[in-house]
Amino acid sequence: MPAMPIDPAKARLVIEHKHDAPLMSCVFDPRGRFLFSGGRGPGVMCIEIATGEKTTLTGHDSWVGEMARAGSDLVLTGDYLGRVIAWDCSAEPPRERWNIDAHPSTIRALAVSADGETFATGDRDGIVRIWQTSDGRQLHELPKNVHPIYGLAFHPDGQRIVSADRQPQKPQIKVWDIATGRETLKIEVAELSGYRRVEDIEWGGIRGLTLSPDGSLIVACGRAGYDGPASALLFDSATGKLKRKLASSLKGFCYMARFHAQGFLMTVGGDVAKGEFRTWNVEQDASLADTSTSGPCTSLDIHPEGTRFAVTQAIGKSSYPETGLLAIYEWPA
Amino acid sequence: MNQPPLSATEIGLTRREAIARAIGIVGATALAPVALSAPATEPRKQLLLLFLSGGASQLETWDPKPGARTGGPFRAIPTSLDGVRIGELLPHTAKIMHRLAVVRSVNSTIADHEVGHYAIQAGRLVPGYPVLGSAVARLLERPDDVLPGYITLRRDGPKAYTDTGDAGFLGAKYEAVKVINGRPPENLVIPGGIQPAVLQARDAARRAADERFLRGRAPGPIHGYGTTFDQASALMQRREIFDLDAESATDRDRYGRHDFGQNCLLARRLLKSGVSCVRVVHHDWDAHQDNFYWHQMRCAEFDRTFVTLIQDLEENGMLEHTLVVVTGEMGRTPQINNLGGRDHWGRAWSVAMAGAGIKPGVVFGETNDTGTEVKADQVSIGDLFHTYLRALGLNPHANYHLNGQTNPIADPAGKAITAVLA
Repeated sequence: MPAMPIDPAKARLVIEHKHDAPLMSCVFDPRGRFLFSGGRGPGVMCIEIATGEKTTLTGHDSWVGEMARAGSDLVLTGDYLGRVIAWDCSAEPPRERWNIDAHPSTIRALAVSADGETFATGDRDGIVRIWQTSDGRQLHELPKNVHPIYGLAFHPDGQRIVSADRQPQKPQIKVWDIATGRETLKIEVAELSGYRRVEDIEWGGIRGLTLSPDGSLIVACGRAGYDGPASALLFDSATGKLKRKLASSLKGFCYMARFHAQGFLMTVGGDVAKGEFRTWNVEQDASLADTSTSGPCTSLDIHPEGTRFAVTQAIGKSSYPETGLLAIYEWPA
Repeated sequence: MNQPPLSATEIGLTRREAIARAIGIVGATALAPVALSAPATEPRKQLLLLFLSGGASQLETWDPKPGARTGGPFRAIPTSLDGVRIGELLPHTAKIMHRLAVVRSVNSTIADHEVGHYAIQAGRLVPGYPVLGSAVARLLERPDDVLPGYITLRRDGPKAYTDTGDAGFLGAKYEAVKVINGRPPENLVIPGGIQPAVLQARDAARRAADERFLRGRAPGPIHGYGTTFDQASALMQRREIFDLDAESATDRDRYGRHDFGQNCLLARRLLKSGVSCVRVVHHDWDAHQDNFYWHQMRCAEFDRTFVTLIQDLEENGMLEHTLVVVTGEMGRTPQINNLGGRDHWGRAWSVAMAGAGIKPGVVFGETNDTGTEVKADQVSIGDLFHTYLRALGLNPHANYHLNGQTNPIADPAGKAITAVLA
């Protein structure tokens, strides 16, 4: 939380870092010294924010699509082959503390509990596993979901976890009791389905999931229908009732949403060769501010101090992006 | 039956075909037999076409490019063939690569579903020709055949282009009989209350009417019409060939409890029953979005089922006389789009074959480092068609003679890929 309140509508670009492949994930380390990003390649780009010095961290053998920070000094990265690596950010540059082959298939979701003690991974096969952050030991596995898991978020009470899947025609949000593995709430999110019978393929689904800091709101990101606008749907986490639809003017997907400690919501999204990020007051339908970008925005993270945020993009002139861009913005006090 | 006055010598008839014509069993529509060898005492050559509809990505299957800008997130794995790697999404297939021939240098030039579906199966772009299944049904036909020569197994769906073309000028007799969603053709059981004698009387009346109508007219379409009655009657007698419940639960599990798995098991059953060509359509390869997610799902289904099928055919002695072809209507772009998908691509992709007439353990052709172009031994759709026919012991340079017209069975511009032929 910044010392002085910030104006979410007044973000300004600080610096851009180019990458030789489209980017898909980013996260600040717990102390806010480093910014990690990954994408269509096995290398994890680590930038020391103060100096701009870049280091490529190796250890993954495939694309790195998921990232989260944990505790006081770890960043976790997950790849398309199911491996999770914990990076010790107390070292300079960060170095691997442990790695696990967490899943036999692609990790599509990675989330860390509020206290940083545990983290969860979800995969293409619908498996959700809970792990101990300190050493990567598995603690639980939830009853298997038949559909791929595309989003995970811990409830701030640490006892529950929320998952989002990609079930055709009716993607679902489920709330689970971690200790018992019992499903306590299910929400069908047909509005984010992009199912087309012509191919019998679900083109949409829930692409990102987050909870408000107090755990009262679940935010599901995606696209409203097959060719609708990038959208985020807000649900009451106790009842499952839809509370608000946040729709962008941009056709495409909303890929990720994050709450700022000050209470507003940020979303990122994109379509062919264009993207955007927006800030929202969750009590209003219209966004507070929006910024267009040259490429689709694929991920977002807010600095632990709340004064900066980072956005990843996939850059290319047509529908085939070939490079990536990592941009850091700040909200002046 | 009216037959054009062609001698066996003029059109290269085999003894078997000549006899067939003489006794009036072969239809009047397609009269150029093309068997290169294979006495009638040998098992019938058969074709199993596994059609990956929508277009599978060659980079996630037969021609991986790990580490390349276009390579995607998955690794290449070693196979049972020294020095050859394929995509890691096909781990079971990797173990039987020594039984397969893979062509990595197909340039079909086509990046369109509908055109591709037809052209890949007809071996040419010119419309109106029979697709492979229909052609094979005709060319491998035997005088005592009662079952349809070509059966296609697919899911219901509006993508009707999976049946594009079919028999073309060969006529209705060689159209595919469709098994949709695992359901056999309808009305194979005589409705209760209808006496056989009534059916026989109806049939006799229909035949008499046909005979009268035929006088002075071209026979082709009318024979085709009559053929459908004969085929329907044969299917009613042999409807058990569609009965998957007759297969063991173990086999049903081994093939996978999904559409493709069950259809492949049914294909085995149909081939055992003597059907010349069976096509199984595996749907949903058209991954314009989340290509890597979709290929994980599709490959997982394909991989285990395909290997189970090949091993079964081999163990049952069927692979020796059954040509198995794995193809789609095109490949997918090496470039990865903004939605993580790969789009349509015809300039450099792969086809796999196994079984009858195929030299196992061959990888033919090469693409460049990023998979965007063929680097060596380019193969056309016509070349593939020639190759399939040659593998089945058929002469691709022969002609169809139909109602006074002569049409080449295969595109004369094509040539068989001898490197993959046994």
